[in-house]
This record gives sequence, C-alpha cells and structure tokens, in this order.
Amino acid sequence: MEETELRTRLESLASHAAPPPRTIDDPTATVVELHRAGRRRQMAFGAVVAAVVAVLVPIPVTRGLLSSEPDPASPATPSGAVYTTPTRGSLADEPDFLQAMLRRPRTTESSDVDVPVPPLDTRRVVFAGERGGATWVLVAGADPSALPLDERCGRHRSRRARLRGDRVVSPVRSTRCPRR
Amino acid sequence: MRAEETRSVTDFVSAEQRPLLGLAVLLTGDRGLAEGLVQTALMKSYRHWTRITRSKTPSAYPRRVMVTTNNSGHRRLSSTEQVMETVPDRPDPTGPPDEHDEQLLQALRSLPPRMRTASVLRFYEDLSEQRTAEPMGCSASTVDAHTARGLARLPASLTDSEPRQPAREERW
Repeated sequence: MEETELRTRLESLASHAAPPPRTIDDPTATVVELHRAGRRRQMAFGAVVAAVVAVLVPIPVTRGLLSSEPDPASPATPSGAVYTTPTRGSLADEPDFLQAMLRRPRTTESSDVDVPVPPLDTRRVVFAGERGGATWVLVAGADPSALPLDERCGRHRSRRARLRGDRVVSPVRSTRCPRR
Repeated sequence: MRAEETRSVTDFVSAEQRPLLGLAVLLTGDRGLAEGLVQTALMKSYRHWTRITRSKTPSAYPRRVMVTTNNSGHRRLSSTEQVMETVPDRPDPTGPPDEHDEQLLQALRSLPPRMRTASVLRFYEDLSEQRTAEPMGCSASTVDAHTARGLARLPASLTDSEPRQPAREERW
C-alpha cells in the first residue's frame, strides 16, 4: 500500500469514528465519575490494608510482651525506609510543591507540645496527596535531640549513613494543608 | 475542583473527544476498545489537570496516554469493565461502518500493536520518526522499521474511498 493512500484512508476512517451526540457535560461527568470511582477504590483498598495491618501487627507485639525469655541481644533494625522509598501520593510528581512543604515551618495546635525541628537536609516528604477533600502531606526528619548510634561509639558518621536511617527518626508528623 | 476548572475540563473534553476517538479507533482497530481508551486517557488527564494546563500543548497528554496505555501488555491481556450508573451505549448516528473502513480496520487489526501504533502516529498524526519514538519508548530506527513493515503488510487491494481532509493542527 502506498504511503499517501494510507494517509488518506486513515483520515477517512478516523473522521467516520465521530462520537454519538450527547449533552456537553455528559462526557465530562463520565470522566469525573470514573476518576472519583477510582479514588474510592484506592481508599477502600487502603482501608483493607490498614485493617490487615491493624490485625497482624499486634500479634508479634503481644507475643513479645507475653514472652518471659528475653531475646538475645541483637541490633535493632533501623527504620530508614522513608528515606529510600519515593514519595507517594497523587501530588508526588510536583517537585515545587514538595520543596515548599519541606521548608514549611513545623507548628502544632497545642503550645504544650514540643515539636522537634529536624534539619532541612534530613527532611523527606513521605506522602503528598489529596484525601477526603483536603491536601495531606507527611514529612519525616531526623530528631536533632537524638544522638546517632555511631557518635555514641565515637566514630565518624558519613552523610550516607545518616540517610540510611541509623539515626533516630522523629515521630512522623502529618500536616493538613489548605485546599489547593 | 473549582467551577472554572470544571468548565475548562468540559471545554477540553468537548473539543478533544472526537479527534481522540478517531486516533483511538486507529490505534485499537475496534470502536468499543477505542471508547474505553479515550475514557481512560481523559480520566488520567483530569487527574493531572493542573499540570496539563501549564503545558504548551495540553492535547498532547491524552494522546500520549492513549499510546502508552494501548501498548501496555497488561491492558491488552485484561478485559477491563467499568461500572456505570447510566447505560452509555447509544445508537450509532453514522450507521453501519463503510465497507472500505471495515476493510482498513481489519487490516489494522492484523498488524502487531506496536507496528500499528507506529504506522498510525507517522501517517495519521504526521509525527516525525523521533517524535513517534518518544511515546512508544523506542528508537527512531525502530519506528522506521515498524512503519516500513506495516506498509508492506497492509493489503495492496485497499482502495481509496474519500478525498484527503485538510492538514491537522499541531497536537503533539
């Protein structure tokens, strides 16, 4: 088949594939409804995962509490996953927004609570997305008041080691932002 | 989403639905699959609407989504169904498909998906080999090979049925 002939035939075929006449909002409403249905499915899946975790996590914890034999000494596994996994959530691909959230000062609604202020270079956005009609951002960072393990041993620690997470991570704090 | 954004989405969908469906029919070789592909592309566009409106060519995003989605093996292997409140099927106002169109659809369906995609993007969307290669995730030489083989495999017996339409505006 000739190239020009194929171009003509493809144009003709595509022009005959006109959508059926509908009201102007109809396709948009369908798209919006599909988008919301997808969000609902994601939230339902998240709820199921949370329920499974809520059931499974207490089992080893309870076992540990009930056990009279102390475990042999073993180093605690550092929980540095927040530093190595990519940011999750629907806004994870908006670097400007994530940078702004990293620089956002940490505040608390109660003046009695002492909020640790992690150094900027240790902060990491774990989650940024829209849930329940609001924008939620979860930022984790190193607690400046906690001593790194290697400093206790008097050894030099590299930045890479810090980022691996063998420094105590501050309580993860979520921020509810004004709707964008 | 604010009312003005919803209006701009509505304008975008109204303007793009028809050309997107035309491209989707050529990419899939099937009207039903094409409508699902367009819905998926528009839904993903809606999800990233803020970013799309900032780009120079907003219409490129749903087209790119259609190419990548249609080429994904997962979508081809799975039959996805959407639960709808209203029945979306309506009588086709264009009537039964033209005999020439049906011939070409069959010929397109006989091509492997990536060969079909390369041929459609090169000869229908008028993209260069380099720009065709971007959404397909391959090299320009691969696109060249796909299109050459696609042309060779399409039956020579297909005859022209209508004069060519005017050149399309820049969409990619």
